[in-house]
Formats: sequence, C-alpha cells, structure tokens
Amino acid sequence: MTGAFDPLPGIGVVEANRRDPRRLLAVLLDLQRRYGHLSTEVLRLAARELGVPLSRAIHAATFYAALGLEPRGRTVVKVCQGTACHVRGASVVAERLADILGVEVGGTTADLAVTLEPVACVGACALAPVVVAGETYVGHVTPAKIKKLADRLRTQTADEPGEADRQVRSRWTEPPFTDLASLARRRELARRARTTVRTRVLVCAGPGCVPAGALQVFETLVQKARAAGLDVAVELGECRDHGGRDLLSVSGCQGFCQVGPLVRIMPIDVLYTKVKPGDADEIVTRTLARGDIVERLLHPDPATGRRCRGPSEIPFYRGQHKVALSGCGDIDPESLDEVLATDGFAAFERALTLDPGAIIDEIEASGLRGRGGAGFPTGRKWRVCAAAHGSPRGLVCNGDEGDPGAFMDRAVMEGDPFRVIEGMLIGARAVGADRGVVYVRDEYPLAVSRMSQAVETCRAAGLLGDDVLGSGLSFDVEVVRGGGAFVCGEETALLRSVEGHAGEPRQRPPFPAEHGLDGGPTVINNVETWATVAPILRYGSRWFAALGTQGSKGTKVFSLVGKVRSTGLCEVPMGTTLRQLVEEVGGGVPEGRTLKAVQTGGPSGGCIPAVLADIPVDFDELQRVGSMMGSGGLIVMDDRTCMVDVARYFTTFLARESCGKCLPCRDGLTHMRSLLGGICEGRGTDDDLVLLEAVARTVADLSLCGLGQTAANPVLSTLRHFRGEYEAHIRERRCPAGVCRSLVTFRISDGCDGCRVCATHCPVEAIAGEKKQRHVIDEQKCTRCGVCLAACPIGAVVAE
Amino acid sequence: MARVTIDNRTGDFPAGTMILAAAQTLGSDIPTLCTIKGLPPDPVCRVCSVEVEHGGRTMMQTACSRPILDGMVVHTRSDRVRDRRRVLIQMLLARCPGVDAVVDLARREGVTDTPFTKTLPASTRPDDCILCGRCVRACREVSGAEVLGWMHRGFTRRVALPFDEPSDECVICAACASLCPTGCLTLEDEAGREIAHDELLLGPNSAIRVGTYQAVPNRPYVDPDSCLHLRYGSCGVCERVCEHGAVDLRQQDRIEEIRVGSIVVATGFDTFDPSRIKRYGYGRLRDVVTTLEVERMLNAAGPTSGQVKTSNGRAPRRVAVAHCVGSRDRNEHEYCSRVCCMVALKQAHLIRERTGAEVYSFSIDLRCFGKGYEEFFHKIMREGVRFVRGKVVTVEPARPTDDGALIVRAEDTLLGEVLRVPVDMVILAVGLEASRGTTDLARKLGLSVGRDGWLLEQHPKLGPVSTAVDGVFLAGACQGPKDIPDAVAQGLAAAARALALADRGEVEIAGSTAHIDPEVCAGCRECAELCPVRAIAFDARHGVCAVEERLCQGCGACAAQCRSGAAAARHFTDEQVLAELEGVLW
Repeated sequence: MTGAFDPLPGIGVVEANRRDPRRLLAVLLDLQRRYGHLSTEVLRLAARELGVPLSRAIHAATFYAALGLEPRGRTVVKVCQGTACHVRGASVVAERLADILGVEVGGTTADLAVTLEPVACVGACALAPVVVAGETYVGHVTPAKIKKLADRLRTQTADEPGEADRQVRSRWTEPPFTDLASLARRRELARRARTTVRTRVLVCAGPGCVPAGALQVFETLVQKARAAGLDVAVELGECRDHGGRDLLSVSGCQGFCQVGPLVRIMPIDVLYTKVKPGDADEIVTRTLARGDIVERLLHPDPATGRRCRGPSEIPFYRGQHKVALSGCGDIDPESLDEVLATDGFAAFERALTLDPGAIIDEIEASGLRGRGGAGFPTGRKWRVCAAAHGSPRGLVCNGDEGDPGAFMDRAVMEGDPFRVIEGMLIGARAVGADRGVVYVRDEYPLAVSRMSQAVETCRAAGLLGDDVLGSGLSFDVEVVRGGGAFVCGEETALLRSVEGHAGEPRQRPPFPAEHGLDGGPTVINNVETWATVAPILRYGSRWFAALGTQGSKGTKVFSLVGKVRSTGLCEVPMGTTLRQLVEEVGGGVPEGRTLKAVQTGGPSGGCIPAVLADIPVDFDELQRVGSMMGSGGLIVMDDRTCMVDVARYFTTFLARESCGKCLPCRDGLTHMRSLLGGICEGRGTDDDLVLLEAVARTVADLSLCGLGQTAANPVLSTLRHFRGEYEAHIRERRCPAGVCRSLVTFRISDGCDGCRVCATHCPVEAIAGEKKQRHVIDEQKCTRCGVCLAACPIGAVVAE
Repeated sequence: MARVTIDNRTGDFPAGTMILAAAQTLGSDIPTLCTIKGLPPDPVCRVCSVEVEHGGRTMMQTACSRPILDGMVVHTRSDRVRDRRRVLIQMLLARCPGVDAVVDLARREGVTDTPFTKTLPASTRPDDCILCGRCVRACREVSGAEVLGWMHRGFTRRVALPFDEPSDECVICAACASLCPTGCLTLEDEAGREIAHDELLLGPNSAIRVGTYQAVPNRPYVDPDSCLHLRYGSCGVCERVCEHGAVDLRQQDRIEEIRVGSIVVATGFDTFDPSRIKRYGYGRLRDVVTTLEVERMLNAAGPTSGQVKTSNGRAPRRVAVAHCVGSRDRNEHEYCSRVCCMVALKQAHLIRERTGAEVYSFSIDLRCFGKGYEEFFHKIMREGVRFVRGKVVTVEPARPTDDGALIVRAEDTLLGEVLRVPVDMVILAVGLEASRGTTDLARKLGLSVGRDGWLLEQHPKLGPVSTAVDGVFLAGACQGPKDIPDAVAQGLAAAARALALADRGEVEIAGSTAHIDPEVCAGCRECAELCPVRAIAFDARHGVCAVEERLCQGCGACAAQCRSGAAAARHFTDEQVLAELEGVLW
C-alpha cells in the first residue's frame, strides 16, 4: 500500500459490521482483505471505531493465523499441512516451492509478489498434497508439478474475487410461511415436482471434487444439455408446473473423494467417476438423451476389475449407513424446496407438537453422544442447560473442524446446511434458546457462504426469526467466521472468540451449559451432532438406539484418508471394526504395503496398531486402547509410515496451535517437539525418552483445557504400541519405516531404466547417469529430500 | 458446609471455599504463582495442582480454582503431584533462570537443575517474565484500563503495551507493577525514576494506606486523588479483600454542625516545593531529594528500611546539603524557616554515620539556637562534615568524566572561589510555608493573615496564642515556623486559654457591642461579610441578621455600613455621636 493511509474503507467495514465490538474478528478479517495487512493505523482505527481497547485488537491480530501485521504478497500461496498431505510429502513441497520462489517458508518475496505460508488442513484431503494459490485449490502437487506451479504463481496477478466475496443472498422470493399448514402445502408441491422429474443429475461439489474441477463439469453439462435441445431445469422450482424435465444441479459431498469429480444419475442410480468437462457431451447425448450408460466412466471394482454401475455395487459405499449425511449428496444444498421435498423440517414440525422436556427425553433415550470428539451424552447436556437459570439462552454449532485430515463437518455445512438449522431449531425449543451461532472455521469459505445463504433463506421463508410458524418460538442464527486457530474448537475458546476476543479457553467448571455465551446457559454441539438431531426426532430414539453398540449408539461419519486405496467420507454404524473400515470400505492398503496402524481422533487421539484393528469403533473401546473417537478423522498408516515422525507431526501441530496461556501446554509441547525432533534426526538418547514421557504426562495432567489435556496422546499411544521404533531411532540410529531423512539413505535399485526423471527433479543435482543407463545417487550431495523417490514412475528409488 | 480431607487432615468449610484456602487452614501450604488475592482465580501457572479424589475418580486439579465438595479427599504432596510439579518448575527454570520467585520455589520443592535448557528453541533468551498474567489481569480487572495485553500465541506469547510504546490510556495506578512477582515490570516517570506516590518519590505506595506508622488513628485511609474506584469506578479490591468488611468506598463526606465556645487552629505547615527553583533540578534530576524525603528514607520503618540509598540502589559516596531552599530568598520567602538548619545537620550526621559518605553542607550561616544545638554542630564538624559558607547556585548532571552523578556549584564566600563539587546525592533543606488553604480558613474564621501567609497572632510579644477574634486561638506552625518544642509549648498555652474560657463559664464582654434591629433589617447580609471577626450571622428563618454579642469587638463597621440603619453600635449610635460632636463644637 503506497500513499497516505485512507481511513474511509476501514470505517466502512466497521459500519457494515454494525459497529458491534463482538464482531472484532470479522472486522479484522475484512480490514485485512481491504488493506492487505493490519498495519498500526488499521489497528488503531479498528480499536477506535469499534470501541474496544487497542490491546485487545492487537492480541486478536497476532493470535489468529488468518490475520497478519506484516505486508503480504499479492498472491498468498498456502501449503496444506494436514495429515494426509504430510504423509504424502507436504514438507518437501513447501521446501521446494520456497527454494524455487526464493522466499522462506512463512515469508514474502522482496517484491511483495508472493507470500508462502504453511496452513492448517484445508479439508481437501483426498487430493493430498494440496496447495492453495489465492483461492484456487491445486491438488496432487507431486514433485513433477512443483516447478510448473511455481512458474505460474510468479506471474499470477492479484486474486479474482472468489468464494469469500460471493454475495450471500436468499433464493427465496416468496412470502414466508406463517404456519404449519402453509409449510405442508409447500412441501406437497415440492414433493410432487420432484416426482415429475425425468432424470436427476447430481454433480458432486464437495471438498474433494471442486478442486478437481467439478464446477466446470456442471457448467459444461448444463450447456451441452441445453444445446442438445433437452428440457433441462437447474432448480426444483422450475419443475413445479412443468413435469418431465431433467433436473441438473450440484450436490454436497457424495463421499468417494478419491475418484471425483462424481456425477450421480437417478433414478437409474448410476455413478460416474473421474468426470472431466470433456465427458459432458457423451453423458448428455448418451445417458440423458437415450438412457445409455457410459461404461468407461464407471468405477472398476479394485478386486475384480468389473465396472460398478452405482453405489450399491461399489465396495466403498456398501458398508455405509447414512444418517447425518443422508441429505448430503442427494440434494441441491441451496434449494429449500428440495430440502422440503426430502422431508426436511418434518422433524421440526414434530418437535413443535412435543413439550420441551419430551424432546430432551427423546434425545437422551437415543443415546446420542457428541460427535465432536469428547462424546458427552447430548441429552444430558441439553437437560443441564434447560434446568440452568440465567439468560440469554443460546445454542452454538461448532464448525471449527480443526483436526487435520478431517472434513466431515465441512461436507455437512456445504452439502446440507438446512439440516443443521433444523437441528438447532429443535434444540432451541428443547432448552428455550432464542439465539444460535454457527461458528465456521475461516479455512472453509464455501461452508461460510452456504450456511449464511441457508440462514438468509430460512429467515426469508419465516423458518427463523420471531414466532416461527406461529409456534411462539423465536429463534435466529448468526454465522460467525473463525480466524485460523485450532484451539477455537474448544468450547470456552470458541465462546471467547464469538464474544470478540482472541480465542483463549478458560478453566471449567463452570461449563457452558450453565454459564456460556455472554454468561447465559449455552448448548454447544458439533455440526454432525446437530445434523443427527432431526433424524432422531423424525424416526424416533428407538430406531437410532438400535444402531451401534451398547455404549455408542447410531452411526458416525469418518474421513478415511491416508495410505488406503479408497479415500473419502463414509458413514458407518458404530461397532464397525477398524479393519472393516480399512479393508471393506477403504479397499485396503495399496499393493505391496502392509497395514501398520490406524490413527483416530486427530491430534488429540492416538495410533492403534494393526494387531488391534478388530476393535469396534466405539467411544469407550477406542479410549481403552489409548486413543479416542475424536471428530472422525481416520488416517490409515502403512509400513512406510514412521510412528515417531507421526508423533512429531502431531506434537508440532499442537505446539503451533497452543494458545500459550498455561505453562504445561505452552512450554511442554515445545520441549516435546524438540525432543522428538532430536530422536528423528538421530540425536536422541534413552534419557530423552524418559524425559519425553515425563513431560507428556505433565502436559496431560496439568493443562488447563482439552487441547493440552489430550495433546500427549500421540506420543503416549505411540510409545505404548510402537516403543521399538523409538528405540531403533535412538540405539541403532535407524528409521525402520525409511521416513526420517537423517537416518535413511536413498539409492537406485537395479530396476532403473535410465529415464532421467529423478535426475531432472533433484534439487541439488546429485543423480548422475546417462539416458538408458542405471542412475546413481551421490550420497555426499544428497539432501534426502525424497523428491526422486516420489518422482520415479517405476519405484526404482528406495530409501533404507 | 462441606467436609474435606487434605493430606489426611479433615475439616469442615463453607461451600464454595477453594481447596487452596482450606488447605492453608489445615496446615498444607500449596505453592502458587499466579493467584491475585481479591480477584477470581484464572489458573495459568498450574503450580498449585493437586490430586483430588471425588465421586470415585481421581484427577489433578488446580487448588486455587477448585471449590471443595463434601467427601473430597485431596493429596498435595503425593508422588504424582511432586513429579508433575517438578517438571513444571524445571520448565520455568529453563526459561526464567534469573527470577527469584522461581528459584525460591525450586529450592522449596527440592529442584536443583533443569534438563530443559537444551530443548528450548534456539532463539529463546532468558526472560524475567514468567507469563503469570497478573499484570494483564490487574490492568483489566483492577483498574479497568485494559492497556496491557497479550501478543501472539503459543511459545512466543508475551505481555506487551500496544506497539511496545508507553500509552496515554495508562491510568498510572501501578497495580501491574505491584502485582508483578518478579519485578520485571516497572513503572517509570519520564525522568526514568521509579514512581510511587505524588508526595514522595521514594517508593511505591497504594491509594489505601496508613499515613505513617505513628499515625493517629492508626488505620488506613483512602486517598481520593489516587483511588481508582473513586476516580474511575473500577477496582474496589480493598473492599473485597478485607475479611472484616471494614472498607466502605461508598462513604460520603458528612457535614456536621458543632456549637463550641472556642477554637484552636493548628493547621501546620507545608514544605516549600523546590521544583519552583529550576536550577536545583528537583523533579528533573535523579537523586535530588528534600529533607522530608530523607526523613522517610532514614526511618527504619520507611521505604528503604532506614538504609541510605541513591536511585541506583547503592549508598552514596558523597552527599551535598543545600540550606535555605525557599527561605531567606527574596525571590521566594524572605523569612528564615527556623528549623531546617538543625534538620539538615541531624541528617548530615546520620548519613555520615550510616554510610561513611563525605557530606558537604552549603549555607549562608547556621542557625543553631536551642539547647545543645551549638554543641551538636561542633560535634559533627569534628566528625568530618564539611561546611561551606555559600549557598548552592546550581545542581547539574555530571559529565562522564566526573566522579559522581551530580555536580553542585556553589561559591565559597570565605575563599572567594566558585566550587564545582561532584556528589551522588543532593539534599535540599526546604523551608516552611503556610499550609495550603490557610487564607481560605482565615477568611472563614475572620482571622488575619500576615505578609508571609502565616496566621496573625493578636500581639507578637504578649499575645502569641490569641487572635483578633475572641475564642479563636493559634498553636503550632500555622502561626509561623517553629520547631517541635516551641510548637508543643504554644499548643499547651492555647489549650490553657481555651480551657480557661470553658472553665469560667461566664465571660465579661465590653458593653460597646453592636446590635441589629430585626424590624428594620432588610437581610442584605453586607454587614456579615464586612465583620472582621465574623460576629454576624444570618437567620434564614426570619430573613434578618443578628450580632453574636459575645464575639463582637465593637468596631462599628457594620453600623457604619448599614444602609437601613438597622445596625447600630451601642454607646456609639448616630444620635450619641452627633450629640458628642455638638458638645465639642459648641
């Protein structure tokens, strides 16, 4: 920014946020976009105009990762540091990009063209490793692609307006519903319209498919269909008075992210995979026009090679049972009509006929436990809140899905946002709340805009606001963006963030159910939990309790990622074993590798060794073996995953995300990271191991909040189940999995065919060899970056 | 009430008592670093963590924030507690090796060294801040200013002023500095001195304090000029902390009417403010202090426990005493303040005795007028205190090549030389002046004020304690500078006069008093303003003025002025005076 500081845009931002000091974070995020970075003048302006102390504004500006005091480049390149990306070499990508662009990781080029920064998981795990340039997702960034990507970035101009700038508008142009009867009438119309549709085409626009080009596929399909003279509609409303049309729309995540973009055709229940815009023509002329199936777009069964027609034949889908995700992938997430046509808000209608106490009874009887990680019985939480005195009474939907490798909540918020609102309406009636907040992490701009749009639509339709449907219930929802802080997933930190501060947790008790947002009783539940409330009210607690195990009822959504053939989102009944998930749903580990461990619960969880893979997925069972359910991230690890490296990865993540308020977590995690780093680099001693364990137990026992209290799990669980690996690193200076760079040697095996690919990618030119001759790595020059191993098309490079 | 067992000792406590307080009562001392008495706990240091058994579960919880529950069993020194605490302290030691509070805690817990120095990030420097957060909490919850805050998160989290600059929003309450357990946070004024209190620059002081150890009554009072609650409505910690509920910040001034027969005025003096004489550098240069401040310093119960120290904490090697600051000075006060020479000599003696420093006294002459005073002067001259006949002209900061912090320039009038003396401390023997508000008080009581601002006695030789107003007496320095023996003597005299009045029961007054006819008086009250002895009062109910004849001196001013002729002096009425004139003239 050159020239004198112009305060007018800044004042405009504050005005647009109603001068509300609680919206400090939203204001700072907007100011950052407007001015490029939060300079001294900008921060003073923000504090002054909002009426908050300057120290509070500065704390927020330096606390949230999305905000920065330093000037940034025109293009901000973010290298995802999520688990799936990490195990596929994200750190190598970051280093190579830094090298080529001439900038430090986390820094900005001198000409302010590019800022390169590592970011927490962006939720596109199926495409690991992922790089986000501006607002464009680039997936599968293999070493071969790094150079080309870097060139493109250098010449890229300033960002085009993207999702974050999308105007949120309601598509509801009709008068609001005033009572149950008017809602029922509309539902009937929508249902009937849906039945008249000839062919339904759903293009998956979920977290995995969009980066792979799903939106272009959709645009091209519509274009080609219209050009072919077919009678197409893109909204259900268009089908109301006009039957027999083809309805083309985008949907939320359909689950099988590995083979996206996905296109689903109903009612013939066909699933096309890896669809490109170029395939649109064939789909239109053959499938839409003639009902013909395009064989080459069907997914081949990994075991038999046979082409699978649709989800019922695909192993990935077979073991699943959709409850929370039942709408996701099935409907256009922006269409209230489709939601109504598929029984959306029917559960809310039933709730309006029940006493608040009866609703709580139903939830309690269902055995629903929180899906965000801790697994606290939801019914009990609602009961405590309902019985607590005080006001204001509120609900919060925790959409700060910070676990790297997890994107379940993202899928629900993007794919079925009305379901979340319905759950909250039911909760509002149960506990007497009049306001709700949906907190969405900053790294999910599409989720922010979809949830906001759903809220706007509900308001316009009279489903949110005063006296909803004439029931006497007044309830409204606000969508609040996070600022890039994993700790804000912790309940009290989230509340602090919503109230306009840095997201630091506080000591509990008191618990938010009694003393929460603005001091009033507040129920905080995870997105998936809220999404499960409506089905329970609709089909009954007994139906839900019949699924799952004794202690863990119902189903759970998992993001199955890592070293497994089929990655994506899946929902299975509790009690399904880990082995079933890995082998039946996931298709097992790739050829030539063996299953070593399954990591559950994200950074708060632990690694479960393959020998224990037959334990059922259950809150208590997982805890018994030293892990936890967590939010549902399931990382599959094979024999080429180093467990010490995994422990270091999670500990590094947590050390960076620690708020720093309490001594054990702040200092302890830093020391643990240092000790683990030493062990991975071959400098570890037996004493280090003793010290590591002592610090880990201290962090676990003494930390103030859940982040710290569970932060030692990765270390403690790997020490418990994989101690031998630690000892190999220390006593033999050897990494059995061949991952820790200081302890491995790369060499080229006899299988080398002399293609020179590795040599061209080697950053230090350490590979010698003529074309068609076996290549040799110069061990002195080799920096063990691993690029050659990743680049070799035939796997002739080995690490040992 | 709830019953709790702590380290095998059981006790009953009211519900809501924290484990920390209960433990202390039962004899288990749990260490803490971040608690602030009087504020709700925000446990960040976790040092007070203990093992708590309740409801079939055992957990570690912070004692300062966990209320006791019936049946709770607490262990404050189990193996698990000691192991965890040891790791905590070791981590603290690694980052803050120079902090006394941490080192002491380590010693108490038997921690001798730390394995964590080598696992710190390479860029970490030893820090005196233990990140306890008390200062930030004080700034937010005590003063409400919220100027101090946090920056960043995780390991690099730190306390900071906005943009690391001094802030105009700071209310200078010193709550942060007084709560800092390590002393790494200090308040400084612009000259770089540690601040305390606008009267003394010698040590921190709180807004609620006992004035001195000899104060009567010996109870704390609240200074309304510095109290945050009275100024901004925040804080109020003193009320919460007092276990006996003795602090009430809502007290208002009460106006009471007392009818008396005599008044003794003993309003004392103020010291001359030496910052009026710019060339002495008071308020600008460090270690230029007044004799009053040195009195506090020399006092064993004072801020330095009686040790003589300069601002850098060390004993001075050379001290200069400047006499007649504000006295015997045509530009300030022409009079001699009588007591300062002896005070200065006494302090010179004590300083020399306690520190062995070289002491120089710069004066015009020395007034040692009392019993044993001259002998004392000779004694300290023999002790080696040096006396220069000549006032100090300027005090300047020393140059780097000088052997001292300050340079005193004075003329030695005996030698006829201008001296340039390097010293470490300059004591200004400030003079006395009438206390603030004397003129105001005089007007209310109808007293006269002399040319120098002291209250005027009735007769300089024969009436030292009475005033022109009957029944109002003077005692002490308000009448003029004097030392303690003289003030005591005068006080006894004034008391005797006042008691004599009371004892008599009846007073004989002169007959020639004034009288106001209530039928004629219009109530304009101009006579009441005029009366030099305030003998006229306005009766609001009847709307007329009346003379208090016991006070009236018969000067006749009211009668002369009264427009309506309502006021008349007895024996001097208009008719009588005119008759006299007639008699004389014809």
